[in-house]
Amino acid sequence: MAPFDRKQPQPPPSGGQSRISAARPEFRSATPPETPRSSGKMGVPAGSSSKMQVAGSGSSGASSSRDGGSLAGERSLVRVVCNAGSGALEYTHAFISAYAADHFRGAVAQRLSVGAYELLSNALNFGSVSSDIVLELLEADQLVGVRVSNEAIQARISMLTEHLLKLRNNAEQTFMEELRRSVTGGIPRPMLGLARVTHEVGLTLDFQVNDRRVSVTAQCRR
Amino acid sequence: MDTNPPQSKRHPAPYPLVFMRFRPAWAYIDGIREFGRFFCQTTFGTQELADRACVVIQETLENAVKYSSNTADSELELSISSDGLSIEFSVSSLPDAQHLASLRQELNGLQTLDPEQAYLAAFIRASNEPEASARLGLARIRYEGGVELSMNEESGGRIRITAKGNL
Amino acid sequence: MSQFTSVPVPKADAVAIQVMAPNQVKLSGTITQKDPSSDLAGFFKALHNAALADKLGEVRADVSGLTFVNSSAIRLFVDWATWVKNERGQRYTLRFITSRNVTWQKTSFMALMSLAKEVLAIEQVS
Repeated sequence: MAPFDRKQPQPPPSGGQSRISAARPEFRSATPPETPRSSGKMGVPAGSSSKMQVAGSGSSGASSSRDGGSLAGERSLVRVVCNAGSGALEYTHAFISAYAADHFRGAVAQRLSVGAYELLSNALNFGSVSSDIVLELLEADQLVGVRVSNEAIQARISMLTEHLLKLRNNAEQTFMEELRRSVTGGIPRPMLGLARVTHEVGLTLDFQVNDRRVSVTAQCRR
Repeated sequence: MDTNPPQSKRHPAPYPLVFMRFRPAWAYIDGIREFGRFFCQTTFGTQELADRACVVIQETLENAVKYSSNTADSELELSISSDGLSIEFSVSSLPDAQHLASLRQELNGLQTLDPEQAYLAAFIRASNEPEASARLGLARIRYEGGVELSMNEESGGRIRITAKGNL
Repeated sequence: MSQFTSVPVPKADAVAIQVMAPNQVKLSGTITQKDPSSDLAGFFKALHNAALADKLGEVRADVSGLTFVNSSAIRLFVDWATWVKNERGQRYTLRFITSRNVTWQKTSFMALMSLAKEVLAIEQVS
């Protein structure tokens, strides 16, 4: 059973957007224009959206983003569409890792490799099978990132939101908790992936929900 | 469970499934081809299409890399799209002027023959002209890849080779 | 002493090559380098000349393990077939052992067969 199903639904704020986190340089998560939007169902009004940012461990910086749009100069280096339940994880991750290793300096490439794996793994495991998962490797003047977007049921979105709040409040503690639970097991299932992304490799997570489409961007300086 | 991948559903226009940009370097071709193989195998579920994709990607990228101009804006772009009935591979590059002329000529020549005849003709040409360039690649794409080729000349000297075939 | 089995085997990226007595060469892997002729054209020519010197009636080229090649590599097989075809004295049959599971082999060796069927034989294995 998918872990996000085990939590009580907690709808994200609806009717507009709210920034939760402090200023950080970021890619704004945006649903790719090709991806069809779903209408509001299961208690989530159509057009509702929420955003959250979780800074990676030890990161700092100033915001250079623009409201309501992507970062100036952001461009997609690689974009892959796949679907939940497919066997796309291993070969896509291998390709993204190799691409990043060639394109970015070693430490950055390794961080993005972990980010790509964990974000895509989550989307493939928990995304809706009836809509596309989109993975993008992005670069801008100062930043690089990996963005994964997918549709999910409300319960999963709520659980993800809660998990990200925990990570934002204390990434290290959350990482240790999830690590412990991944050894001992537990309900809900351990959610080590995003904790690895923020705490282990220090990527900043930017999380955005539009209707039922979830976009998570893991980013760092070049 | 919905076992029909969203990508293989019908779309009114080619739906972009893969996009990537990279420098025109030979070293990338193997990795991109193998990614394309796995992607097509996973997405469309047929080994046959995966094999065709390999030929199309390998040969189009080889041409693009070999004949790219040596400038900062010569980055290549590869995309794979599908409308649920057909698949399109497209490679955008900035070729040198000399190659562009011979490419136009070769594509025009290819269109006059069906894919099998054109491939056989390329073999005969290769056999009769042992010292000349083989020029098997484009004929192979059409025949083995099961696609038709077209070329669009875009602004700034860029060209886009598109290979389109049935799924 | 067999000249065929004495032909030095080149080291080429991603392709494994074995020459076996009395008349077989086996290639497996992939050939996708920019100019495969630099590694392999001389080798194939040496095998061809050795086969003539040894007065072999047949050379078996097992390519069933070559999972993918580029068109420059296919050109090398065209060249080899052409050498045999153009031989005026005693010549041998060049028998390609191919895999029916590998797409490029089906299409390309069929085309090659139509080019030089008098000197070629194609054998398919699974």
